[in-house]
Amino acid sequence: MTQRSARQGIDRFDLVDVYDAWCDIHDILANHIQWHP
Amino acid sequence: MELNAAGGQLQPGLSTAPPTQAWSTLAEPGQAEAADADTGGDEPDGDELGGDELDGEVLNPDDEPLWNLLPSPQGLDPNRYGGRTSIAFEYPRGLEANMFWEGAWVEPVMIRIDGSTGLTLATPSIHDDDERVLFLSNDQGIHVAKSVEGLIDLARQIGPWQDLASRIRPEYVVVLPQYMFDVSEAIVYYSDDSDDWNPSLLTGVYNFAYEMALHLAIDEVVEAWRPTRRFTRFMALCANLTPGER
Repeated sequence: MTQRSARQGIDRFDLVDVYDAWCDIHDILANHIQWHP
Repeated sequence: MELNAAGGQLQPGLSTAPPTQAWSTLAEPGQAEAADADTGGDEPDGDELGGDELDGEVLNPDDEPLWNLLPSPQGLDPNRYGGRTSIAFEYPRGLEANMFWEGAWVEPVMIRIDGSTGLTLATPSIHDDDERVLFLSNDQGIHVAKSVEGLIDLARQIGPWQDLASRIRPEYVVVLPQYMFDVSEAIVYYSDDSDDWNPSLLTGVYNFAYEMALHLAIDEVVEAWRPTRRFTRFMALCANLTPGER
């Protein structure tokens, strides 16, 4: 896959949806981490 | 947008160095099994773990992107983030430390998430979909320490590396760039133009999140990695990006 076709493929996605999906993943993972000093 | 997953060869984390056993291979669809959480019956849970007496230097107290804290070719800048540094950032690490971690088949891993940065231990990728990454964990979740000393103390108390922990010297706990996973920064990228993305950071975080979800059997996240999902196809495209090129 060329750089250009990868960029074109990404441009076809709604980045707001990608952002929201990653925010969900972030929150779920964060809830499974136990923090220590 | 529905969550889903990508397959194929992806890049490790903040990789500025040749990956050794980087997490560059994702499981094939259908082979993703919940990894053994390796919860020893005699291990204390998170509430019982000590650590308050530790006086280790807190990693990244200003919550800066990890990328900013990596050493320059001239070495780590002691003036970064208020003069506070940690040995964990002092890459490249020494031969003795490399031999120690390679011999133990485990690596110190740094994660930045939810406003904090910390250290845990994990097995390197072994390019074998039947044997997943193990973490320093128990049934409370993955345990992460905010200091080098805290990590060593944690390793003594829980997880599969308790015998090893007594031999971990603080100076060994230097994290290779490919084992730094900046989840917080990945999310910031997705709110910016894709021209500014760092594909190795994004795909490294993507792999890390998948392994963590598998290890903890978080089905709602593992489900997102199914190859038919748009999210997966999107991440596969990201893996083909070169920073700053159009």
